[in-house]
Amino acid sequence: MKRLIPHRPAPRAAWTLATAWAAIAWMVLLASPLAAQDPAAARLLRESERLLQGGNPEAALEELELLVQQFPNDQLAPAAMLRVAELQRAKGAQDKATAVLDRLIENHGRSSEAALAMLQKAELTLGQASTTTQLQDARTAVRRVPLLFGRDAYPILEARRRARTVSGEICLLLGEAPDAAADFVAAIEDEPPSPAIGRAQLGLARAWLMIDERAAATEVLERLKNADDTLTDPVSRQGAADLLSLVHRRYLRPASGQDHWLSTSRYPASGLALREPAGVAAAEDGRVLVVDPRLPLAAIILPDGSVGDRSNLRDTERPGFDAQGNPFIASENGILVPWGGRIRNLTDPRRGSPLKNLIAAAHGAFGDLYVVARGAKSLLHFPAGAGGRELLADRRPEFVDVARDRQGRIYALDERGRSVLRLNRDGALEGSAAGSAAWKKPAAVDVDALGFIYVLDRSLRRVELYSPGGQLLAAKGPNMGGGIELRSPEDLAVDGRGRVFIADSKLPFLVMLD
Amino acid sequence: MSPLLRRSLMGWLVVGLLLSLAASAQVIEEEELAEPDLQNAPGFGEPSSDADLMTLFRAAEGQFLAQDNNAAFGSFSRLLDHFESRRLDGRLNEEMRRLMVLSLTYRARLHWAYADEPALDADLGRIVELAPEHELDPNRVEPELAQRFSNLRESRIGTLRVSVDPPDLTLKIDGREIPMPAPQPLEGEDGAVGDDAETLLMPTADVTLLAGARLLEASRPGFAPFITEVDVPAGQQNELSVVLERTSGVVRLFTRPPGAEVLANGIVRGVTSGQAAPGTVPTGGRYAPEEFSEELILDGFEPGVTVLQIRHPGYRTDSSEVLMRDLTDVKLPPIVLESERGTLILKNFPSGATVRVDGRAARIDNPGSPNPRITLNPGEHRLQVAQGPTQMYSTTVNIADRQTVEVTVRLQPGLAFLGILGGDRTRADDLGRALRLALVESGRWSLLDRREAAAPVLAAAGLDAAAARRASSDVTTVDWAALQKAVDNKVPGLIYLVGVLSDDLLASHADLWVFNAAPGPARPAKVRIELGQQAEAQRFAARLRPSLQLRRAWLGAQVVTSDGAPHPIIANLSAGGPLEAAGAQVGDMLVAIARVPVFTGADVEERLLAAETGEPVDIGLQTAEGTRNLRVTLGTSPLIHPAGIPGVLDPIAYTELQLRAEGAPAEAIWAVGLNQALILMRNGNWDGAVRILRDLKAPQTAGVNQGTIDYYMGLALANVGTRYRDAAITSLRRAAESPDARLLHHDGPYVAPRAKARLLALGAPL
Repeated sequence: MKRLIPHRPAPRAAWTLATAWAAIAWMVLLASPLAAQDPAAARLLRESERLLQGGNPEAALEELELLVQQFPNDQLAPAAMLRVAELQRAKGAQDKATAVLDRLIENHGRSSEAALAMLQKAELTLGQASTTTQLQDARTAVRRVPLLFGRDAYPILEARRRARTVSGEICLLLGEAPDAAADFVAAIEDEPPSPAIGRAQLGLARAWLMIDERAAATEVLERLKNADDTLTDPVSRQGAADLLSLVHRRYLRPASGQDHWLSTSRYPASGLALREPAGVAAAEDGRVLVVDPRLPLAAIILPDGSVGDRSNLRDTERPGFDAQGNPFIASENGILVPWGGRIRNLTDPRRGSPLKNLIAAAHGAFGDLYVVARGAKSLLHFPAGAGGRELLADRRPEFVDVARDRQGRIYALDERGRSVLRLNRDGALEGSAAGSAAWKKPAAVDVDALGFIYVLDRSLRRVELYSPGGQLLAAKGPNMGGGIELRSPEDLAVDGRGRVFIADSKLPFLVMLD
Repeated sequence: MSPLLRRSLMGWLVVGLLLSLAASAQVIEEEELAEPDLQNAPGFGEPSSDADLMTLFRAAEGQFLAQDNNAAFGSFSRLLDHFESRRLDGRLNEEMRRLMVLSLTYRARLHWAYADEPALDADLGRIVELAPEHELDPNRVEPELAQRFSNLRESRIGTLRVSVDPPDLTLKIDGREIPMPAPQPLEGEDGAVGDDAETLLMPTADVTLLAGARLLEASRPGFAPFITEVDVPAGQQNELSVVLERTSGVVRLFTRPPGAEVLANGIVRGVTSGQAAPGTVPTGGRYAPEEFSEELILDGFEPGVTVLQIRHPGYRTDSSEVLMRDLTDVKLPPIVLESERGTLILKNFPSGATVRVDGRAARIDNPGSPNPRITLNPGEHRLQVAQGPTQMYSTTVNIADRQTVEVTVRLQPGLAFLGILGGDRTRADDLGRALRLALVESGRWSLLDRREAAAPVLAAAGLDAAAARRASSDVTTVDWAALQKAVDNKVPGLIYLVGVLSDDLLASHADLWVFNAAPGPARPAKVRIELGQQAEAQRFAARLRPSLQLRRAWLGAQVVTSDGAPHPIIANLSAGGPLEAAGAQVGDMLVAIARVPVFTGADVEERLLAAETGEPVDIGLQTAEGTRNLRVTLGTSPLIHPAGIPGVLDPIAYTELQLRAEGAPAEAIWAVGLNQALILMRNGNWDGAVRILRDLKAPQTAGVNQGTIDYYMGLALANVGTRYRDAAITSLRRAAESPDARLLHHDGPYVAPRAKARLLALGAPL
């Protein structure tokens, strides 16, 4: 299997975020009272806008930097600085972006653009955080925005809601659901209406699901899902729809006496011929990545069931999606990024030589990587920008798969120990999340957005469902219904809606359990 | 004696003379003249008024008394130039003539002191020419000078004894009116006085005149004027009897008020004016004499009947016939014109309401009547009826003299139109007309046109077009609370409307701002409309007449939708709610409401919002056991709108709620009050929200209940200030311990987890 729940925005989300920032920056610029400014500054601003619309961001950046340099005290300067930072971020020049934001905060601290700058800076910090402490620092920084820019002086300030929302999302990463709920509730109820409310509503629902306020959470999700297009963003609405589907499958069906799974089917229904599928991953947005090394083939199945990108990659093991929602595949020589990517080679911390025979991987909360290698008696951890290390070696485990939940916790499936071990976001062992002596050959593990754990046993040819507390709730297989019987299941994955996908090397299709 | 010694002696003589005059405090003028302020005295350049000349005269006189002879001489000489200039222009009135004579007298005294005899005689002669009757008092001026003047005068004047008939004619000699004494009764031989007109002596006066030919004019209304030249020999007396010939009858009249036009047989003959002189109008009447005009004297009347009409705008025309048997004077009794009056009757007049006409409290002729009657002058009047702070009626009444107009009062909330800001006045006027028309047509509001009165109020609040445009993007630009207070005081309404044009030169659109009177939110709602389209104004007016939905059907279930189910699934059931009572269970699929299939949560919402409460409806369910159909009587839930009532401007919503709350018992309108409080909270008026919330008592049912109120009370208190933090926490704790409490409606979001989150944010986790 390998399904990595991204804590950073998925590609579509990332694009949306960048678009939102750009839109806010331009709204700030355009809303500025031009009449009070130097005409030359206004002309520079318009020229930069023209250049940007003409697809020349470099030239636009130059005009904006000239504006900031020539008219540092002009009323347009703060907005221009904000835009410069945005363009620098887009170029990947994080340091330059940070420097501009620092200057903006220092020189125009009471401008509404300063609030946006503080928020941007906190998001930069968040994106580079590699420890829990750094996450907490980012949260502290972002919480200053509503403190410094109160409603009395800034009655309409989108940055305040965004700051509260980002703070809530950091709380979720830290596992502090009540604090997250407090941030989200304030973001939703205390700020003027804006499309950004959807993100806060989705966060609030997730926080409440974590602390068993399920009724309140589902009410929020249903309202978000049905919200008007003008009041919420499509990403949040889709997220709400997915979570509701998951809640329905995991909680409501059983509550009414129904089975967790009502149907089994081939997936996709058509358009993709497989021979011996060996690995499968599902993104939260419903995309499925399947690998069939015998063909060879790696293909993306889109949420509507159609087939997207495909490639004839060889030596593939289990696939996954990274924190940004980009697909990757564990392979013989490293982490393979299909469709234009490259192989990320890793150094074996035990020998200092290139790591070989990778069979599964999952990204941690801080851009770090957890890897299962064939024959390794430990879980290999590769922190961002640092060398690898062995985890849990003292338990002499035989890890066969690894997954991550929404809070950044790692779930490693130990075939020998017949258990799923859970590590916190810093890599420390929390304990056993699920396990059974009845397992014969556990082969794959995944975790859904509600914390339910899915384990595939190759020998028993069945899927087992465990509650977040480790209680066995349901099992299915080898007869899956619908005329499908598992014969040699290799991998499983669960998507954001709770649909389970199984790769069986003796079935020429994926099995979807719903 | 050498000239030098003679001049020196003359100087000492003048000084001694002036000192003696000063010691005896003698001044030429009988009245005391104030010491002039020479520093502030106007220059001699261009004195323009009598007062200026008087000031200059006092200054010159002061110089004379201070023995500053050279200065005084110059001052009087310049002053005399001004008087002479006036005289030549015919602008020398009697008072100035008197001053000119005094100035000549002072200058003659200076010539006397300087022994400049030719100049002295010239000035003395000039005095005689100007005022032949004038004499110099030897007790006040140098006796020798007085004698010299007397000698000169005797050689240049004569006397005319003139007697006149009729006695009240006007006599002028050389243009100067000569006052004549009253006619004296003729004494009989026994000294008895006759008792009829025939016994009166013709008035006779001796008039001192400059010797020579003098022009004499005599006139009187009703008589032919008399003009003749009469010779007055120097040092002698001449006599003349002036008897005028009667040519027509005369009518004399006074009117109240002045300014009335007098017509005789339809021809305008004159207009009354001024104020009656004392004693000319009898006292003790209904009106004071000074309320009448001065006497208007009209002549040219023939014997017979003449129709007189007295006309005055705003008054009824007075018509009368005057019978003149002979060519005589007819003095009419003082004429009092009666004001024109119309009667306004107010139908459907609410008890306790107040009436203002043209901005002032109106006097009701029949107080206490259900149909008050008001007497008004003819013309257009602005009528305003108000009952309490919210109900108003305003209209314009056009009323004619003796006309009775009935107006049916329809009390409605008052919308005060404060004007359109911006320099493009053509567009502003067009928009103003369009708005007035649309608002009047909408019939929801009493339109109070406050534009004129509001202009200085808005200006004082700093709200001009430029500031208003800035405020469109930054609501902190204008102190809305201060503006609300100002307009509440000066141009009150229940709700206010002000427009802001997009441009001063060429406006393409306008922002219309609507805000409440206190205690409603001061911050305005803004609606942008394109200019030049009446439909835009009508759409705006329609937004000011919303229908507020404050209730909805209650199913008692929370549903969710999933891609794994074709219909919404019941996620929660309210204890004791309609659906639970009918036997539904969590996890059941809600297939149809009232036999209409539902596929999403939005479908369910739509069906419930459209459903009638209290009526049984069929609910189709898909359960684990199969399909079921339940007959469910939908309950009723209040609707709470924390994010605003969709499509309704906050100020309008607040006002509509205020109107609903008026007079209703508290237990019946708690949900209305809660919605009002939420509008205030949304607009930052936390104090106002607390004042409303603290009095609300909701029923203890599942759904929107007291826990809901506690929640919002906690939020409002937390925002009022840190001193209310403990009270906020107490309220939020009550809310957090209300598991059944909901927001929005009985099946809405849960209060308790939100309250817990709020408590955590306040640092007081449950």
